Amino acid sequence: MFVVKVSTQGGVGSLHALSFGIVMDLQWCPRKPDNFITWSQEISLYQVEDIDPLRPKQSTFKLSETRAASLVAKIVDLAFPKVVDGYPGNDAEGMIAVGLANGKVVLTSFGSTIISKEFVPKHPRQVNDLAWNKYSPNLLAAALDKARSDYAVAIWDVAASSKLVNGFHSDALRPAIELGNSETAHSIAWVQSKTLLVGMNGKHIRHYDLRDSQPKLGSTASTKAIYGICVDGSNRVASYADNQVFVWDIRNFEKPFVCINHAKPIVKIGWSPTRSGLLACLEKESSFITLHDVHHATLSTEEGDPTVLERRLTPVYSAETPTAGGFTALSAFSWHPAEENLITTVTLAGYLRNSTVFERVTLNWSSTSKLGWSNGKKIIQFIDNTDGIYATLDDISIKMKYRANAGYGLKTSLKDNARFVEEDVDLLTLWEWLDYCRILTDKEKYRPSVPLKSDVIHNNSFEMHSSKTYRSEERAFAQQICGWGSDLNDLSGSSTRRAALSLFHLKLRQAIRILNESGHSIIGMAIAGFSDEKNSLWREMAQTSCPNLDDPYVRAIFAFLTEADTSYETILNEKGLSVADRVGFACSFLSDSKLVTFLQELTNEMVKTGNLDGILLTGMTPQAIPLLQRYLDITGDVQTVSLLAIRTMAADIPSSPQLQFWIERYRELLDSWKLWEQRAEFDIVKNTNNPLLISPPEVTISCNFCGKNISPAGFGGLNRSNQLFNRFTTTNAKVKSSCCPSCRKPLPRCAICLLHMGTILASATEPIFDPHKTGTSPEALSWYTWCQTCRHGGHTAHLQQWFQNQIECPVTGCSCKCMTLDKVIDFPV
Amino acid sequence: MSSTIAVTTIDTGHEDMIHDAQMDFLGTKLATCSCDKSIRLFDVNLTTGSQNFVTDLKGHEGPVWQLAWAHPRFGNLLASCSYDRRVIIWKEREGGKWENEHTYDGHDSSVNSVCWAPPEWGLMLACGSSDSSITVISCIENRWVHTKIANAHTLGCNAVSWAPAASSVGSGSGDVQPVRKFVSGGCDNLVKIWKEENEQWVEDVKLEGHSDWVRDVAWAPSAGTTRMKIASSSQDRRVIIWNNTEDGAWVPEALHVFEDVVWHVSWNFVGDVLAVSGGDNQVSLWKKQESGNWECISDSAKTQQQQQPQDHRTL
Repeated sequence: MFVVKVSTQGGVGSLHALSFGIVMDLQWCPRKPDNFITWSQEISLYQVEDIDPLRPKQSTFKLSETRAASLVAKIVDLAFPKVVDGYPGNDAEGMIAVGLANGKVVLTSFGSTIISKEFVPKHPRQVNDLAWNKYSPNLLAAALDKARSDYAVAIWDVAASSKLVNGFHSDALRPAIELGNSETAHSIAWVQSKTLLVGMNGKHIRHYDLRDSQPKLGSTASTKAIYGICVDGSNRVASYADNQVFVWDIRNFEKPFVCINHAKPIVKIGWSPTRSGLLACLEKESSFITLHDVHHATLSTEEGDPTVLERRLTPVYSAETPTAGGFTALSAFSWHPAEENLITTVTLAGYLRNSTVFERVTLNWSSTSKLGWSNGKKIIQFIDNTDGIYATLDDISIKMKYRANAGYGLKTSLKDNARFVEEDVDLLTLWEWLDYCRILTDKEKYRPSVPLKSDVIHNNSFEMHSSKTYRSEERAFAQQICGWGSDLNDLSGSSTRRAALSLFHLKLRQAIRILNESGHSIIGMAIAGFSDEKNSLWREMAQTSCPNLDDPYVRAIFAFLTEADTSYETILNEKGLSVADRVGFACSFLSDSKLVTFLQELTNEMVKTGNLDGILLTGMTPQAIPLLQRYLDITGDVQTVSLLAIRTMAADIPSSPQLQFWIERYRELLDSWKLWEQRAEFDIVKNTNNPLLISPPEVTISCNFCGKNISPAGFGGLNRSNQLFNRFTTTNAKVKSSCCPSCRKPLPRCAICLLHMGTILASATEPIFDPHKTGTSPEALSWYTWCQTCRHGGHTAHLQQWFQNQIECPVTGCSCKCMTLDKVIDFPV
Repeated sequence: MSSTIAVTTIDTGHEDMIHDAQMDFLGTKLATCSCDKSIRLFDVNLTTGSQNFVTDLKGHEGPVWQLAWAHPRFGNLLASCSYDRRVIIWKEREGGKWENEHTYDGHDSSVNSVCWAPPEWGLMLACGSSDSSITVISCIENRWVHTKIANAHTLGCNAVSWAPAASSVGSGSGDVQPVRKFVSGGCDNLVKIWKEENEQWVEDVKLEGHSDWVRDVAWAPSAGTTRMKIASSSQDRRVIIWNNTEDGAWVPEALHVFEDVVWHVSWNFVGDVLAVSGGDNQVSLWKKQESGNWECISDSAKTQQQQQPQDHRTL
């Protein structure tokens, strides 16, 4: 025996894939997860390590982007090794069994240069298969070719006779068990420590039980698939012949439960050691491994083959790997014994590559914005909104949660809500505008007159071309809503907007002055050169350069000055101008009929695009619902539309299922975020704005004697919100009844002070507790409360005081532990 | 950007492949299920993000494929489905004890998918099985009632997903009674929409577009929007978004052709970002851009994934 030790500095070659030479087969070492063996004429041991990108080793073979292998040792003088199996025990690391063409089975190790043991059969013939028993690692089984009056299966107990010594004595040990006289064994596999499967004579798989001293033949499957027997778990077995793979259940061995047909003859099969039910199959001269997920085989009782989930794994070899006819034909593969679903393949030319078979990745996005997926067998990973990825998603729900937390939409003044949405100009403008409108409409109740009738004013006094403007009360009011107040000195916005608006009010000089003052003197100068002459050079230049200007208001200025007719389409359709300005402009320059058409078209367009500026046209009326729906469809911002609904359209809620739907969704959203307080505040605002939305009380307090509701009679309807809690409140001056309104019998007494329910709590004016500490409002302290179990109760303040020091109910003889009955759950926020 | 990725990793302690992980409505509970036949429950601490193992639910005799939490208004209810042909509904009793509330064993083969209906419909559950049928299980007056759709998908149903409750409100029509609907995908390469009509479940639409098994379907949640979308993923490596047009038709839109089978699709809460997991072990996020194309907005998750196998080794 001759083992070549290879020094790691010795090799030549690059870090790229390098041929390992001819490789017949390979196997990962069962006990050393970073070592593997390849064999053909010689047997080589490789060590795998992570590639250090900073110091790439020259002598390594790249297995993947991160891993490389280097040759550690070689065994060169064994004559024709046919099969190799790594020893699965702990005690002799690196030991391998090698089956030779002459029937010898040699135990050797890369660690020593000496044969530890040699098993020689009586008649020389080829060793077809070898299998160490991983449950009892001292047992080695060999499957041999046929020989007259000799056995086909030999099982040795390597620990039986002598210890594994490093001395040279090739004592040809006798096998412990022999099976199958004058028969052929093609492949062999251990099921458990004492049971064995052997594919024999080209026609059956035998299941041997070796637990007794006399081997017993268990069940036999008649099949031609006698090659490559391998076991998964305790019952599942696979074998192949030609281009068919069979999967068996050992408990029902008469017929296979799955039969898989392949296009080409099978070369090798193997179960994944890290995942049950995953079988890899390699066809002859193919560039891929077929994976069968037998778990997914259906339990179908119907006739026909059950379906097995099939996948294909094509190892990605680098471009410099030699290919045969355009593809890299594989010669063998080996599963890694421990690393999840790692499979190593080798090509006919001896190039190796690691591939991972990925499992089904489950994936779920929870309502709380957590995205979770499985990673491998046991690991679940999550990202949530604290993750950087979420920022790139621009997930509206994160924005909404943040805004809800801050109190968006619930501020008393509509305008104050704008500061929560400062980053969103449309929303900001909308809240400010709504506030403006509220003030405006509060000031003067305006009822538009239909149809529109306006006075036409011919502005001949104007410095420019004679233009027609229109005036009416309605137009003026509309312009006011658009922020086109009559005072031109009070304009807001950019200087160009102010200049444009001045011009639209036919104040050319003022426009020029504004431009000059704000550093736009060039534009001011250009405008100053205005000429009404139809064919003037100024007009020509202005018209050609106008579309190239960046500022929409400057474009509008030139468009206004050069407009040939009075349709003003360039300005009215200028998307860069705010909707308010376009409407304001239209109100000045369009005739009644044109104005109505324009507004209708603009409204339609706004609704279609979900542009919030269109609220200007629809108002917060049911007409705005389609627009808001469109906005919602585009942005997913159910928060803003719900808030707008309760703040400005509360009266329409009962009649609009859409509004109700938004509100419900938003409340659900707040629920899922556990923003209970914000939801309560939302409900309060909603119900204050429309008391009809208050749901009827679900609980009433009934008299102990007559069973009638003790709430004041005649109560209900619109004003109940004010009275809802009054009956419990004793702090206000109202005379409270301490008896049932129906039968005049007294109400229950407080268990502490023995006064009737409804009587004034003596100490209520001076709270016993610091209300901030207990979290209870002073009013609530004087309410009557009772235990849901023993039905005893009293004033809240009294009971709180009692239960600070006591566990049991204050009523004599009652041992109810009222306070501990209710599970108080602290929800983290 | 990778520096900002804050991935929480949970070792579920399962002995074999995880098949599903579901967070409840409030995000306080996590349930996982596995090939090892068990379901494991965890409490999630929202402030720290840590999770504590609570209990495991044993009762299935095969791999557990999928889980679904019912809406909290019904209490803590978890549905699970398994290779053992059964659907089990688990309920948390007083004192945090989990019990088998109901077992449905009316399927002849593996049950692959469970999904609770929107809470507006009450306690109602759809489950799809390899025996080609779908069952709708509902709790009416404290009794569990089963309605079976035979031959829903030839060769088997792989996934079910409910339409949001109000999907028919707001399409302008107003007071129309909302119709209960769900979508399913199966081994017949089809995506089918089912609707309830006179207390019977009937096929509403059949969507043809995939050329291999449909692995997952996901009806986009509606946060108040009227847009209806369904995502379907398939063995044919494609993800298709089915958009409901105003006239009620479903128009397919190809999201992407992936390198390998696409296992799962899942929408975010608002229904505008789709997460996709594929056979190449990558998770990617897709959002419709203003240009109208679906674009992968994040592949950071997948670089995470690729690095992960090495972390395994050190674990």
